[in-house]
Amino acid sequence: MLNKIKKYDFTLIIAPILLSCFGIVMVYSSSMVTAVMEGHSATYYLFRQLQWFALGLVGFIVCSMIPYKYYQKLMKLIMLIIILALIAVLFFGTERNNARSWFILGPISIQPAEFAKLGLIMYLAAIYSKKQAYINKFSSGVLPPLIMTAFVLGLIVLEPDIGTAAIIFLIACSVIFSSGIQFKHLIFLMLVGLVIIAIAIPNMVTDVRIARFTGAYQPFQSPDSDGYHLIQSYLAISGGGLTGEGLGASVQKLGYLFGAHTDFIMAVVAEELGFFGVIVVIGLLATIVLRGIFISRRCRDSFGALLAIGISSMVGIQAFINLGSISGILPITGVTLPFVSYGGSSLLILLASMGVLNNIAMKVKQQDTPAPHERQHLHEGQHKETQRQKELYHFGGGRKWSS
Amino acid sequence: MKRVSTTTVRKRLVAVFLIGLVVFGIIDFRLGYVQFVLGDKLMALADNSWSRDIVFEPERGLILDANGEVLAENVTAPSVVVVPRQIKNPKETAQHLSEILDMTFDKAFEYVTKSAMSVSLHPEGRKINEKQEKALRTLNMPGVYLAKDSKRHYPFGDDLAHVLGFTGIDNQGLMGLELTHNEELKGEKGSLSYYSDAKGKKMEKLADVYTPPKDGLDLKTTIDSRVQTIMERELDLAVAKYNPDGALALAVNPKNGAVLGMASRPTFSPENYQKANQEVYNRNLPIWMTYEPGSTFKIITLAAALEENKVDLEKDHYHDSGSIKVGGANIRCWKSGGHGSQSYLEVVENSCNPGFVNLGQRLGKEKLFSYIHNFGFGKKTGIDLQGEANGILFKPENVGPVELATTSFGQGVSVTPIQQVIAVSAAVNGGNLYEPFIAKEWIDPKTGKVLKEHQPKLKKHVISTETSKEVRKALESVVANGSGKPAYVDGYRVGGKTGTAQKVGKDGKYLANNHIVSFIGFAPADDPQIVVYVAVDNPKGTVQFGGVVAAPIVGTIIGDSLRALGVKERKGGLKKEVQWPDQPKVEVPDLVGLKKDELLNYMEDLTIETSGSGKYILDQEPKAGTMLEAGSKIRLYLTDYKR
Repeated sequence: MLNKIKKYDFTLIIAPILLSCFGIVMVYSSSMVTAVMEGHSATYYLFRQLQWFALGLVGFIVCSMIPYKYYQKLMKLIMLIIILALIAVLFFGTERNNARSWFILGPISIQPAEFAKLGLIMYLAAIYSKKQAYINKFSSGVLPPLIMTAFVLGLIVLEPDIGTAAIIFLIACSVIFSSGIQFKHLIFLMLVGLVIIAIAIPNMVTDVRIARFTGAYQPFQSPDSDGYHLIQSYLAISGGGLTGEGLGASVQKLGYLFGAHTDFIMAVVAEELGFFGVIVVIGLLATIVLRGIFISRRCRDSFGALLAIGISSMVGIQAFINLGSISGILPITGVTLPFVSYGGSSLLILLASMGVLNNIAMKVKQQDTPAPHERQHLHEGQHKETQRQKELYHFGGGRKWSS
Repeated sequence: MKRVSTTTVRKRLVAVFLIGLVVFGIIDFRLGYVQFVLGDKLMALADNSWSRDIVFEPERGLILDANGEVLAENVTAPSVVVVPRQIKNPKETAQHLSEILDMTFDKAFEYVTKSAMSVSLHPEGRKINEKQEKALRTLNMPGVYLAKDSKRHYPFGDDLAHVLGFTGIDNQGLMGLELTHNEELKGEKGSLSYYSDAKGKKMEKLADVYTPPKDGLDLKTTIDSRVQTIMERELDLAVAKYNPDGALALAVNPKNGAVLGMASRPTFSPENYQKANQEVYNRNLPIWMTYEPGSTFKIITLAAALEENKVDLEKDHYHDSGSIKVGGANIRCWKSGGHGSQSYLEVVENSCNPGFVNLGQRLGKEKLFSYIHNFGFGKKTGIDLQGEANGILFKPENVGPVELATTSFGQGVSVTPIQQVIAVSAAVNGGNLYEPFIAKEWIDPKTGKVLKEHQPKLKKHVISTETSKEVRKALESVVANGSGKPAYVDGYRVGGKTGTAQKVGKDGKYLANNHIVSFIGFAPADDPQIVVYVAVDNPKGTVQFGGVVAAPIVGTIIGDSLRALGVKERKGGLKKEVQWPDQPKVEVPDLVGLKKDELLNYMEDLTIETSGSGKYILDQEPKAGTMLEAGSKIRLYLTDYKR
């Protein structure tokens, strides 16, 4: 058993679980007041988060055991389910905060868009690795997956859930960027993107969205309305100082911060645990993201590499948007902090993604672990290593990187 | 087919890796910035945002008169506070509020829909009156509350308005005693600070801080409300009778400079000061007004001449030919033809100008002006009220023979009433020049203990007790025998001096038929208890002489006040000369054929009654040339056609 675990990547086991546990504590601390005010018991959100965490752990273990190359084979089915779910939610979903994004099934609520994130990452990774052979051809290699991505994005925008759509868009960008498409195609896509944005922005601009921006950049001009949330967030962060007020001692969670256990959980962390607490959380997140990228770089299988980069960027982008909005760099969009914020679907998907990432890591380790007799030659240099890599390649999924 | 090189992909991945590092760096940096750089500024904000203060207003101190009578107190007047979240029907609520509180619907709607915990309706809903309060209580609208508040009430109404002053919407002193002694009166706000969550609920963990309010101290003044009431009554009568441009009365205890009463006309209501003209409430005439005092100033010349032994009132004589030549100018006595030969006591009694010019010349410029300065003219007396004027004296280098001459009978100097009263007080109280004051004692409102007491401040000893006695005697005879007869009060030995001051117009010349007539009196002459000064600015329908208009007012004020103060009547004072005072008679002009409008130019000293209607004067009764007492009536018959 222990030997089996040894094959996995410790960093990618410990960091997400540590972060999730920390998140559970913080969710409890920050949601008590909200829970009681909403008429539940103080532990309401704690237990729900625990349930989801348990479910997430199962997902984590299962996903880390399923060889990731199966996803490539099941791609069509996965995409079909996700697209159907996204369409269904538009008709049968429940509306919360003006967005029809949830399926409520008894006690649990599911957000299909969260699943779409992982699904789309898999899809893009699969398609681009399949198309590695003719990735340089724009119309056949690059374009078709983009159309699919646009379709999924469109469904999410219809809910409307601009925050999730933006995240998926950015994830797609990083996957495409990493897929090795030609630089001129990249430039072309960027230009197209800019043109689309230029056309879309005038239609996207509403008073609410303008207010979000002014709230982010001049919060003190309208402290009672647009700037309110950010100011409350500032107050929480600055209240914490270096070492914080102590766990559970946040004042801002007492109704001042809107969504203290979801979007603004980091403000509560900053207030209760200070800059040290913040550094630990960001450190763990960064470890996960950078480790993911590291694994992606080591992975010789293009599908695995793109999958890893997609998952890493999913965590990284969400963290950046969330932390950026609570600290006033970005407008407030309602993006949660990975692993830490309250949110069932999100936690489940994230832990499952970590499982996938672990599976990739395991494969990387296997491919890297040389036979004992070869170990002594390891230091002999790059040339020998590439030789060896070529030899060991036969079991990898997807296509080989060619040099 | 060209294949993607591994190096490209690896480069890309390194780029992503680096971007990731940079992004986390930025986030760390930004969070640190918010936490440490913005920190202190934000903490102050947070403290404000978390802590709720329940403010406990202190009770403003009362203002009392010398006998403990309340001159200014506090009455409850609630203020309207709305809690927008609790308002069920904003439109209807706004409609009611706008009607009751007299504001526009839009404004009211803005109040009731504001996103705030509670909104106080300032200023419309501050300190509402009983009627508004009743209306709001009857409607009993959800989310509309009446908060306890108080406003200043002045039981004596308009009386003493200028002295008491008034307070603003936050009970802060804005004028008069309310302003000068605001620090002591206002007390200190108390508060209960507690930390609360966003819903306004108390946070139990953080300690409450309770600071009890400190009530303001009660101020006991030197004002005697009885004296004040008498003065206000007399001024009201004078205003009704003479319709003057203004009038003022001032009573001081000469023994210590304590102000017993002070009144001005026109006046205002301190509770509704907003309705009064700013010029009215800003001008506390007894300390603000400066003008040439006229003959009342002669007391100073007299006191100086007596102190310097320049004259013996009984033995020295002066012949008044009707005018005196000084430095090429001819200064005339107010009485045409002059008073003839008279003792200096008679010079004082008659208020003979050439006689006083002569006294001034005997003193010389240095002496006379040094006395004027010593008596406190030319600078503020230091009374504890705002808005006191300095007055103007000739600069020593500008004083020539003419200036010396006019100054000695009160022209060419500009003084305030309070300066005159304090100077005359010194002249009659044995020579002690005091600083006038109103605030006497500070009393703890709870224990009734006197915490602070104002000690009368003796500024200077200006003349000897002997001289002062002589001045009193001379001034008593002015009232008994001379121009001040109307001020005579049986049994109270009133001394005093008339004054008829010319007013300088805008062009720098004296105005014709427009005087400030005044009288300064004190009693009893053997031991003065009160000095009263009354001035009436441009009284109409009368001869403008201080002896005619102001002296009787002062007489009544002194008589009634001394009785009220319980001063015993005296025996053996000078008896009033039983003879109609030596007033100039007025010659009736020929008015027949004139237009009615033109009358104004003539009729200053006579009262007119008309018969018939029309523009032109047909006939008059009595005929032109008849000599009449000043103020007598003549009857005119009017017609529409000019003959």
